[in-house]
Parts: sequence; structure tokens; C-alpha cells
Amino acid sequence: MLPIPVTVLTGYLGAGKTTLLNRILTENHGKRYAVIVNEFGEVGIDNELVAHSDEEIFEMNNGCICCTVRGDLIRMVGGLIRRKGSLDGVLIETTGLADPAPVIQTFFLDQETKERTALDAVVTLVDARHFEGQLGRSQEAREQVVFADAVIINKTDLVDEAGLARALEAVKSLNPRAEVMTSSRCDVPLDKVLARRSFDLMKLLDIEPDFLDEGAHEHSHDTVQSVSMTSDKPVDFEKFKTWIGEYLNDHGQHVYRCKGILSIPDERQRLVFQGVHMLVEMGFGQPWKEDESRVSKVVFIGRNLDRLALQIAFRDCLVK
Amino acid sequence: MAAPVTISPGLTQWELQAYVEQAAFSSGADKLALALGDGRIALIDIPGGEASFVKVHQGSCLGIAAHPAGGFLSGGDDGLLAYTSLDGTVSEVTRAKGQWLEHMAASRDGRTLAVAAGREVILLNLEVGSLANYGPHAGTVSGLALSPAGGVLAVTHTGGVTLWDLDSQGEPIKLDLRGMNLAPAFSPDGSYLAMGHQENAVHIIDLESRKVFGLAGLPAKPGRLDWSHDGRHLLHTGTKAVICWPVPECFQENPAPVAFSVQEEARMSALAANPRIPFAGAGFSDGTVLLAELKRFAAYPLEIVPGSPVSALCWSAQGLHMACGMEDGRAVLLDLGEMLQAG
Repeated sequence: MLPIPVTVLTGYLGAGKTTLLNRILTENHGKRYAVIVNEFGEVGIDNELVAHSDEEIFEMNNGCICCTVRGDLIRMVGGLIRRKGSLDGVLIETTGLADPAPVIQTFFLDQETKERTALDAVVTLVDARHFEGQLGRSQEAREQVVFADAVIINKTDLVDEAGLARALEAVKSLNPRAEVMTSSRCDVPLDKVLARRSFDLMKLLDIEPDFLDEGAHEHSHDTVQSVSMTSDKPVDFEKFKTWIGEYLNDHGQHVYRCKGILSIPDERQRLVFQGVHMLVEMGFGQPWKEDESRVSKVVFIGRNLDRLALQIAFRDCLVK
Repeated sequence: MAAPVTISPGLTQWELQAYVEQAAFSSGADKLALALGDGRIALIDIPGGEASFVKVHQGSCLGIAAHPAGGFLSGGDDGLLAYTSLDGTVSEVTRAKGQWLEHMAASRDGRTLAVAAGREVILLNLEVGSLANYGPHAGTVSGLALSPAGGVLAVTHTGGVTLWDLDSQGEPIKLDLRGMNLAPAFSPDGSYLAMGHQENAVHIIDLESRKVFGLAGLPAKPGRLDWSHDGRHLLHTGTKAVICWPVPECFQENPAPVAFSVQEEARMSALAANPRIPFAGAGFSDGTVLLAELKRFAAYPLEIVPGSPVSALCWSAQGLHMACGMEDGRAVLLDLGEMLQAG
């Protein structure tokens, strides 16, 4: 049984989420998507494929304060799975002020949810005109972009060229790896939003063309920053596993996301991993092509990351 | 498409073409109803085997219970609580817009039915035909149970369990238990309440002393709990074997369960204890259905083609029939008397 792809849609209040949801629900695209929206959403959407959530967040008991999950999603995704066969995907909308981490963590921490679904992408909508102002006021507005796999800069018709360039730059500086699209009324192709298969990390990391050009680079916005590292040397998997486990245990609260592709000696397939806070998942991805240079890439996004320490630790994991 | 196929003496199978959510027998055990993931209800004649279908819900039919006067009540993710008569006529009982009516619990005599709708619980007195609301609870309701005598309603949610005394108007008793609690089950004498927990744990509460037995570290989330007919053992899903916790011995130090019929490759996904004899049905994620004997602690697999996880199990009130539902849309009915007669 193929897992159902799940898209998480975030965005600050007024960015255009409802417009996008209505498109997904009403457009004649021949697919059947279930949508989970917040009960207190700005505009009511009435459609039989809409389920209302209450964003019920609770901590897991393991004592780690960042391991919060969404109880409502465990229940609802569990229910939607039963409609299987007639559903092409699930889209979860979160309120403009919600931290996306518990949503993503739910897909890591609840066994049944994890087995039956595949987290497809975190898509963030940004209001081209108001984004800069929101960044100054709101940690959530920053985090939503930081967590994103794709960012849609919407309402471009309301800004001039310079304004759009500033919004683009602000998004890029927060999250250099996200695929960025622009739209005026959320008129992006829906296959860029739903069932993108962008958690195929290969695709995700390669979207950023300058990614490979630099050994490491850092972007920061206030305290949110990203640290990327690459190497053409293979990685000692045991060393890496031990290190990342310990690192996330100690610093996971500050690491919003980490992801990467590793080249493991004598291994046909790439090892891919991704994490949210203290949680990390690893598995084998697509095989390397014969003529392809095997490059390991990792990225950490978070607050107050020690870039130098990360670089040294990553270098220590390389096969000498 | 839904013609009955006899697998072996006492074992009949139907193809219902949709995820089987839940099963319920009519009060006289002459009908079996199955709630299906595509919004239909399948009604099966016992013993004739003839199946008919009624489209009741827009989305999935999530819960089903027998009405004491005949017919069935069902809840769906369309927020509809419906009554379907045995001739297939559907009528609306109530509607909770935007809510999923998944959790339902009936009293032993079938006269009282509790239905969860978000943070609220709708309590139906099916004899009088009245509705009452209980709540709101601290979180969305994740499980319901009515005490065997029918006087207490247990409601699980994030952060604990709420106990309502249905005979008085007073405030409910709230017992705190961190995390998401689910699948409450009263012991047959009503003195214990067992619950599952999101984080692969089980709790048994001694309702008099309020002592709690906690068991953590299960292989999976225990989403169904049930008591042996005599209340001597608690069983739960989420295990790789049939596990029976002796009660009240489990409240002493180092309690040990009785475990048998280990399934290496699967975990228990459905469970129902026979209400009258020491038997239980245990369904697993690989499609195995075991008939567990709780006196000798041994289990026998039913001759069902494996493959699809078992999603629903239920015994008739008389304990003579057991219904199994599978995720791939198969339903199997066990006639215990016929099977035992054939040896």
C-alpha cells in the first residue's frame, strides 16, 4: 500500500491560504484531496472534503519539551486513511500563528500515522507586501519560512518590482533551499503544492543551484540561521549517526530542521535523513548514478547554531 | 459481489469492497451490521448470509451500534448520527456540523448510547428517545465507555479521563493522566477502568482506591482494550502476542502477564473478548485472527486468508457469533457453535 502524501500549508494571517484551499477544493483537477483546516480559520470553507481540526497540541511524556504533537492530526489522518483509494492526498492548514513543528513531529512520532502517510512538503504562503513588516514583529512568520520546502510569495500584484525583490531576498535569506514561487492570487500550478514528492531530499537539495558551489555557507536573520555543509568524501555512517544523535540531544531545541544526503562507502544508494528538533529519521534513497559525483550534503536550520563547531564535527565524520 | 462464501464449518466470508471500520450485532443477534469506510452500512442476515447495503454517510461511516428496538445507529465523518432500520430506511437522529462521530459506546442493556462529537458527548436514552449533552471536556474526546450497570460514563481525552455520574447532576470526576488517553474499558463488575495511551502504554485504575497500574513500552499504541468475561484479565492490542494482565494481581510489585501465541511479524490490531465464556478474538496486522482461550491460555488461528490488517472485531451479546472486518473490505462471521460442533 502506497502511503498517502500529506502537505502542510502554513502562512501568516492574510497571506491567502483560504484562496489556495478553495482552489484545491473546487478546481477541476481530477484528483481528490482531503483538507484539514482550523476551526477558527478566517473564512469558513464548506465542502464535504474539509475536516475541522482544533489544533490540539500536547507534549509527549518523554520529558523533551520540544516533542509536542498534534492529537487532532493523529485522529484525523487516521480517519482519512480509511478512505484510501479515493484520496490522492491530504492537505493540512495551520493557523497563521501556529508553530509548524508539532505538525511535522506528529508524522515522525506517531507510529500509525508514520506508517500510512508520507509527509510530502511544508508549503508556506507569504504576503509579498506585508512580509517584511511581519518578520520584524513575529517569530512565527520567520519560523514558517524556515520550515518550508516551498515558499509561495503571493499578492505580487500589490507590490512594485523593488518590493517583490525585497520579499524574495527576505525569504532567500531565511531559507536558501526552499523552492520559491510567485503568484498574485495563489495561481500557482497545484502540482507545485500537492504531491510534490519533495521529501525526496535529492530533489529538494538540488533546487538550490548555488548549493554545491560553496563548501559551507551561512545565512542569518536575527538569530535564525542555516548552516550547510558539503563534501565529496564519503561519510562514516556509524560516526555520523552517533554524532547527530548526541548533537540533536543537546541542541535539538534550537534546531528547527536538519536534512541531508550522505554518500556511504561501498553503498549503491544515497543515505537520506531529515529531522525536526530532536527527532531524526534516516533511510536509503535513490541509487547513485554511475557517472555521478557522490557528494554528501547536510543542512541545519535553527537558532544560534555554532557554525564552526558543526563544520568540525561534520569533517570528523568523513572517511579519512 | 457480496455473496457469502463458506470457508469452513462455522466460518463465512463476504467481500464488502470498503474498509471495515466497526461491526455490531443486533440485539437479537439475527443481523450483523458493518460500518464501512465509503459511508455505507452492510447489513447481513444471520444465519441466511444475505448481505444488503445502505448508503448512510457522505464520507466514512466511523461507528455503529445496535438500537434495542432493532436497526442500527451510526456516526460518520460528515457529522451525522443516523438511524438505519432493518429494511434500510435512513433517518437523521442529530447532526454535529464539522465533527467526526467516531467514538460510540452502548450500555450493556443497549438502552443508553454515548456518542462523541468533538469535546462534547451526546448521550442518547434510546428507550425514551431523549438526547443530553455532556461536556465540554478538556480535549477532543478520544474514547468512551459506559459502566456495565450503565450509571457511569468514562470519557478519555488529552490530559486524563472524565467520569460522569449519569444519575446525578453534579460535576464530573476528573482524573489527570498526561498525554492522550484512549479506548477506556470498564471491568465487568465496574470496579476498574482500563485505558490505552498514545505513547504505547496501558493504565488500569482501581476506581475505589484510585490506584493506577501503568504499563509502558508496548510495541505499538493499544487502541482496543477488553476484559475477559469474568474480569480476571485485561487484554489489549498493540502487542505481538495475546497478553493477559491479571487483575488485581497487577497492582502488586513486579506483575507478570500471561502471554501466548507470539506473532513475530505482526501486532494485534483488533480485539474483542467474549462476554459470556473465557474466549477472545484477536486480530493482527497481517490478517491473522486468533481465537484465544482464556482458561488454558492457548489460541487457534481461524482459517482466513491473511494479508490485510484486521480492523474490526465484535462478539454478539450471547457470545455465539464473532464478526471480523478487514481493511481490504472482507468481513468474516464465526458461528462458534457450528465450528465447535464440527470439531
